[in-house]
Amino acid sequence: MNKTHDELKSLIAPYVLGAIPPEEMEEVRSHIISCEECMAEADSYSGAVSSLALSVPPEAVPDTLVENVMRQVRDEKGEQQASVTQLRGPRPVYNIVAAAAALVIVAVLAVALITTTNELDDTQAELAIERQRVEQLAQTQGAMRLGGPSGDVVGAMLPTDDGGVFVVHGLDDAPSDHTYQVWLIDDGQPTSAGTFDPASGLGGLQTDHSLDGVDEVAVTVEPEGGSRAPTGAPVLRT
Amino acid sequence: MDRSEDRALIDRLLERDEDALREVMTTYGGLVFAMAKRVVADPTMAEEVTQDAFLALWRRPSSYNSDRGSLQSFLLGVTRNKAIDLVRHEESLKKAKDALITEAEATSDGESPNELAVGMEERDELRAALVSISEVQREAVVLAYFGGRTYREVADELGIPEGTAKTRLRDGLAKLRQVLANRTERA
Repeated sequence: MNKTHDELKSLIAPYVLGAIPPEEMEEVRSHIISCEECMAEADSYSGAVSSLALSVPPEAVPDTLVENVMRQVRDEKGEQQASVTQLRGPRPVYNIVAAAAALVIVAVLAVALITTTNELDDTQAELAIERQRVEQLAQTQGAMRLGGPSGDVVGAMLPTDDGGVFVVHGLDDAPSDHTYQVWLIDDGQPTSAGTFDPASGLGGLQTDHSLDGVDEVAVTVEPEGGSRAPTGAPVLRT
Repeated sequence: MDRSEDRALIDRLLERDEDALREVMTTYGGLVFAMAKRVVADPTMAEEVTQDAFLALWRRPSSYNSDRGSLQSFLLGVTRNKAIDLVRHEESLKKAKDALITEAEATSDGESPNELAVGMEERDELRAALVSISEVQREAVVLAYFGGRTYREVADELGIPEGTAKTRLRDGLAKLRQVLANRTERA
């Protein structure tokens, strides 16, 4: 930890090539997204990295591929319908990961974003930069991107060594006596990752719940303090 | 396929249109399978990775953002990551290794099985760009990108200091960037 700027700058090429060891990823990623110089260099390599992927000549697809995928799609549709039926029954007792006192722990990345924003004048251009940073986070390896119906809101759930970090940009304040709650959905079963209240449209939280096996992430508006299970439609989802 | 067509496909996937998924697989299946096979060096594992990549898009179409690049690039990135995860999981790095270095120098051959967004001529140019960087840079870049090695593993495998590995990766990408920029200017 605590690498110098030059040390972190020397890791930009390994970063865009996906060649950073997992134990160094958090530090490198946090620096790059918060340093304009490093972010610009990382962006400048995007075409070169794409060219590596596109240089591979196509091959004939196995005959079974399409039908295998479509069979899986149909199987999952059947499972989802069963899951919805189950949710409409008696409310199951879900594992509440975070105690109420510690529900909102804003992670390093979210702190950096929010601090930056509070120091700004909230002009459209400056907020657009923050939105772009969340978009950048959402595109990093292992991240899940969340979007809303309007397209103005963007969120990212990123895996960490001991859980995950969620950041979002563009959310209005929750209605009075309400809060936003993040859900990790595994095989149709939602588990709370915690609640948060956005500031200047930016919000975030840290969860110690592993993202392994999580198929979807969703955000709902819930009564203050959060709910045991989602009570309304998602305002944001993967 | 341009970005507006990519977005239209994604909109149909969001509406759970299975024909859109078939269309994506028909268009990009050959490239995605080739990328998977390039990394895992095993047709059966490559098919598994290819299925996972398309299923991931079906489950979360919104994970693709057209502002960040083409659907083709996105799918290839997803595929590359899944393939590397699988290779690491299977601990078959050694099996995949032999296919890596020489592949960068091979020229494309055979007919394209699909109508693709990147034509043969452009792909040949991209491969020529890759060949144009120095051998030591290419070796490091290919090991990292297609081999899924970290920069520390690249250094270890090539028997060079970590600083040298980082420099080769940076210089290799910078040279590729320059070659591609020159190509764009000529066009």
